[in-house]
Amino acid sequence: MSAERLEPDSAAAAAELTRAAAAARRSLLPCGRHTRLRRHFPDAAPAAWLSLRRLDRIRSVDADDQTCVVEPGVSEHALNEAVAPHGLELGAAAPCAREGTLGGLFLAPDVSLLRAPWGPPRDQVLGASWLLSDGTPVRSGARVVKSVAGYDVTRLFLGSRGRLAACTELTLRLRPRPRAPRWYRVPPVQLRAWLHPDPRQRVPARLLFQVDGALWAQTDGVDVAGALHAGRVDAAEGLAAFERCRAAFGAAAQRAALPFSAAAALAGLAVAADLLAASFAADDAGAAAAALGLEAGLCRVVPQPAPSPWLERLQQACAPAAVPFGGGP
Amino acid sequence: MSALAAELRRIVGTAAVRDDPAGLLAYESDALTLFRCKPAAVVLPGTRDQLIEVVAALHRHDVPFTARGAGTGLSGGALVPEGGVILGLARLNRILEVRPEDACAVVEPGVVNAELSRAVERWGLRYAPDPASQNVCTVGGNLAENAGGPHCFRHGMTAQHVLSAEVLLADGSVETWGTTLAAEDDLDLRGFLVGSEGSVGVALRIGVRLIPLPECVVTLFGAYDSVQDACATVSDIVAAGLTPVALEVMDQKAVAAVEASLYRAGYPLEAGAVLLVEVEGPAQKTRDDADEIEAFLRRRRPLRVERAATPEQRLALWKGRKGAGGALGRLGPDSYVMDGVVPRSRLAQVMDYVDQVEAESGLPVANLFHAGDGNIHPHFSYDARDPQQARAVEEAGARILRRCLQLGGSLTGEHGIGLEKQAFLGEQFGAADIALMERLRRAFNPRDRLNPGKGLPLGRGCAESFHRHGGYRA
Ligand SMILES: Cc1cc2nc3c(=O)[nH]c(=O)nc-3n(C[C@H](O)[C@H](O)[C@H](O)COP(=O)(O)OP(=O)(O)OC[C@H]3O[C@@H](n4cnc5c(N)ncnc54)[C@H](O)[C@@H]3O)c2cc1C
Repeated sequence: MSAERLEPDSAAAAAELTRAAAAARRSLLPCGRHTRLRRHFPDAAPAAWLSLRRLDRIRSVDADDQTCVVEPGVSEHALNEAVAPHGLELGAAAPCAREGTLGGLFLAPDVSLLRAPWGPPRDQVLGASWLLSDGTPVRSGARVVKSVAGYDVTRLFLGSRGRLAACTELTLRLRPRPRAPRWYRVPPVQLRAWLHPDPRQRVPARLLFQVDGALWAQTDGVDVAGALHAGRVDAAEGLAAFERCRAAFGAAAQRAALPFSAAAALAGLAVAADLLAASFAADDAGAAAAALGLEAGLCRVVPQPAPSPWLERLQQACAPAAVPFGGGP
Repeated sequence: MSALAAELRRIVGTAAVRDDPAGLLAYESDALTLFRCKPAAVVLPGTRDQLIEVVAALHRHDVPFTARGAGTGLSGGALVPEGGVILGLARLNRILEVRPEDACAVVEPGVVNAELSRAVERWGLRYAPDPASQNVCTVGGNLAENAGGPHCFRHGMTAQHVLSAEVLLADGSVETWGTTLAAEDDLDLRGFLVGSEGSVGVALRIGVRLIPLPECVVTLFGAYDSVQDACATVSDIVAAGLTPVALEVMDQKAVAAVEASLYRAGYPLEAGAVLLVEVEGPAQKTRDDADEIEAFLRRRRPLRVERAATPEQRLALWKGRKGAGGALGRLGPDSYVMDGVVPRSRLAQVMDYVDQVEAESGLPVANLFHAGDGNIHPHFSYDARDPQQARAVEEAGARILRRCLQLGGSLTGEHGIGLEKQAFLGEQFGAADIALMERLRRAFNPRDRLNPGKGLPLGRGCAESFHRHGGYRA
């Protein structure tokens, strides 16, 4: 982590630095604020970091169309503050809402705490601007909520952890904020209500997470107190628990998850399970299971993804003549 | 070809290879009849292993090929240039696995969209993407086009529902991209495959997400004087923070066509536009949302408002919308169904422009559109045998697509670029963006043998080598 950190304050400056590095055959690795780097790149050793954190302007918010254009250094928190007056929010919730960058959220593996209503984070990205490792600027996707023109380069680059391209701008879909949020504190044993084998019998929750040994749920206008034997709590208490959960999740080096068969039942799929395990250290999946009243074997640690054999070929395709991003010193 | 044909027959059996003129006829176009091209042969493998062996043989013989599902594509995607082979996947139609507790299934590519939903209904599940062609089109074709449908306003496109795919690459090798388990992928190749229009790989097995059937569904209907009023009502609903599952509009000409057909739904003929809104979810909340939506529907001087809560009533309201494609197809000898996108707030503006193009071109246009998504489908009726009309329809289409781009939209929301819109891709993307897409294509499909000439303006084998306007009449 001691490598030089380049911190351009505009896309043009980032392009300039990238071209210079390419000319010197120096490998850069794009990054945000390093909040989650240890988890995503335990052994990264680029010649220099290309941090996009100073690209932190909200370019435009189109409230009618529920889209916005932002630079990747904007934090989830800052974006939500800006769009809340329109009754909107980002349809993804990252572990690091304040410190992390949106670039980091979308370029990392697909993890969101708001997955139940809106799907994984990548589904919120409509288009983006990128720099290839030779400094060429390219655009992908569109500014509208639906477009299948050309290849889905956006999805290919998202989740690549910066090894295919550096993100300089994101066009995002915004979602309506819950109109009637209700918060509940749920006895952990009631988790089973979410795990009901019949999907129709499962309790609808926008958010479901575990922190400090308790389960918490948020619904939008749906009363689940009876179904869950849960106590309604006020929004401040619910939000505070949510922030604690985010922090715990952000601090965990690894995450444990319920197996998919249980996690999928949460409607929020794997990510709800991430959250359930969030407050547990590293690989302590057994403890996660115990706290939820499940058999120990039901929780497991999600492994780091195996390196894709396509990486090198695709890096080559992105910038045939240049040293790829993240390609070692 | 004859040596290859013999080899193909050995692999799949004699009856599953067609190279006679009559047998090839059905494969010379998809549902966009603007382009035609007769393949050298059609192969209909009956098993996954046969399909793999067929592609290995095509690889050895260096013959280009294109996968085909049901051939309902609307951008000319399922055609192959002369000398090429069509891989018909309709026989690979098995649902291999349903894991209800995991809410996912693994299917072969030829499974028909609506049949998948029917098959999982008994577990309280459904497959969400619902293109209007869902009774015919295949999950493989949906994957390749990233198909949408009326309900994708809330549930998302096919890309949001494909979890994994076993992929057969152009050289005959097989890989699995994505997973139906809670795991992370190093690179989202699955995401890149979806919407790649059959030019990255052939999907052999597809892992799909299933979602629970809703506890309660309410469909609402409003008839208005004008398309503008219908669009404004859509904006009112969305601006209030409501997220219905579907927001569909049909204009007067579409209503007239439907009401004159066997899909008659009792929509008022005097309406300038009709709007269908559907909400679903937990019973109480859904009814509350429906009340609120009903109030919005009444706000802009509707000619009529209806609310359907029983399945029969809902079906009756949807009947006209679901049958609209078929009804419009009967308006003229040929149809051209377009697919453009604008920001939702620009819908009224683009519809005005479509009216203007209609007036200037003299060609009748009917409109139905996914209003929530800003996705328009102007439907031209024309006679392809009249070269003047054929030219006029292409010109009119080009004007509308360019207008979509000017308004900040996209050339296509769900039908794909195919052969139809290649020439315009350079107006939506810059040269460097397209060059990057070309290099990515070559990384997966180095010799461009897999669905050559589609999706990107590649020059070689592109639209010109296919015959336009039904010009091919052998
Ligand atoms: C009346 C009508 C209504 C329609 N409504 C809609 C709608 O609401 N929304 C919408 O999105 N579309 C709609 N369409 C368009 C069309 O139905 C969709 O694009 C559909 O996804 C195509 O499926 P198919 O099986 O017919 O594919 P085909 O037309 O056979 O093929 C389409 C493309 O997919 C490729 N392909 C097929 N199978 C595979 C595979 N296994 N692996 C890789 N590539 C493959 C082909 O090479 C081709 O490029 C409509 C069409 C009609 C005729």
